[in-house]
Amino acid sequence: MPSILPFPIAAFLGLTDEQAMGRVQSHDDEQAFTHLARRWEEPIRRLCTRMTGDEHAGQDLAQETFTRVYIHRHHYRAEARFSTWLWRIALNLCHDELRRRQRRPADASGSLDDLQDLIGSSSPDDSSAPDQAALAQEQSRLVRQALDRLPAPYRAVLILRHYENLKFREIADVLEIPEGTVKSRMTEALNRLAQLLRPSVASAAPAATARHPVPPLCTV
Amino acid sequence: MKHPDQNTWIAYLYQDELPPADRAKLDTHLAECRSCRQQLESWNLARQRLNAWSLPRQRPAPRRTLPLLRLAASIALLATTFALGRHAFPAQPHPAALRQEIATHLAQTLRPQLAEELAAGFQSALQDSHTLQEETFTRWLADYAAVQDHQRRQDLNNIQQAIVRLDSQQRADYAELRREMETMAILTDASFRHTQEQLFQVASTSSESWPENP
Repeated sequence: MPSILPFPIAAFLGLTDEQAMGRVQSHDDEQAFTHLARRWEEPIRRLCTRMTGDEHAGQDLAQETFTRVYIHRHHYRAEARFSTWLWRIALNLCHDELRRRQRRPADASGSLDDLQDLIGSSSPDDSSAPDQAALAQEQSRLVRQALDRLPAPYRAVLILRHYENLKFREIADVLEIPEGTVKSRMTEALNRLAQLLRPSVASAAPAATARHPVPPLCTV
Repeated sequence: MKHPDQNTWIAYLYQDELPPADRAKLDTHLAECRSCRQQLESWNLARQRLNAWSLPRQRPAPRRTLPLLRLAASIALLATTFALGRHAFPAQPHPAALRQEIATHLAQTLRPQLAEELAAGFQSALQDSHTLQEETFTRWLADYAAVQDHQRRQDLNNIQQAIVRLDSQQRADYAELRREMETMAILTDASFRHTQEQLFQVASTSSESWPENP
């Protein structure tokens, strides 16, 4: 049920996403929409970027996601979680983009392999030594390539669980599939990923472990 | 030894998926089972490698309130601009992709122009064809009219000549008939005169031979 308080006061009191969306839905509340956009822009951009392997596409798709949210605001069901609805819209847009790329394979052929090397935007630490930065960049590129080779359903589950920290139950709600199917996809995704990254693990792991101790497992 | 299924182990990978009691049971199993341990190590290594792809956080947008419609319009405009920009200017200098982008862009750009030129050429050719058709039809109509006029004049001339001939023939026939009628009249008149004379002669002869009445 939408809040009757003015939005700044309601936000100060801790308005939930669902309440903010309710205000957008019922009052076309611009401040509530801005609040939601600010709150979710970054996670959605990350999801779209990782799904497409392209930062520019990720940016575009995140913008498109919020445009869709506003356009279809009256389709939102108040009893559903806003985040579930939002992830689903973003994933659908990602799937559309991937289908478009399949129809135009030449456009997607280059992916961002060379661009990342040129701009180094994914470099995790600009202050690190050049050789460490180059190694990290190479590791990043390999992971991106491996993710790109996973089928989209596996990639979506992996990204939502590993990077966005959604529980399997929440992923099942987003994808509208049973939780067991989500776990099966996650299993298959990790098996394939281990297979894809195996050659590079052997060569890169010693160099990485020499400079950075391996973080403990199961830290996510 | 009975092994937990893979879905259970996948849930075990994440701290927030299983209750502590279940985790404790799995810990116990893991301490004794090498194959399950290897499976988990393989998955954890893959998960660890995923952390290599970190995305830089974007600069936060300035905190100012935009009217809702302007915000939505701005988002749509930005999305369109980014999409157009990406299509018009390839984001990477990969030769094959660049060549494909240029070919696609040229095709998209030139297609409307080519279509316009083709349409204009087609319209021009159609106009020329109509003009030529009209000229040909007019010329053919003029020729047909001239032929018809000539034929009509010739027919008229023939009719007039026939009328003249018929008229002269009628005149000749009439003159011949008149002459014959006049000859017949003269002959009839002569015959009447001769008959009259004979009647007079008969009458005179009868009066002399018959006796007078007492």
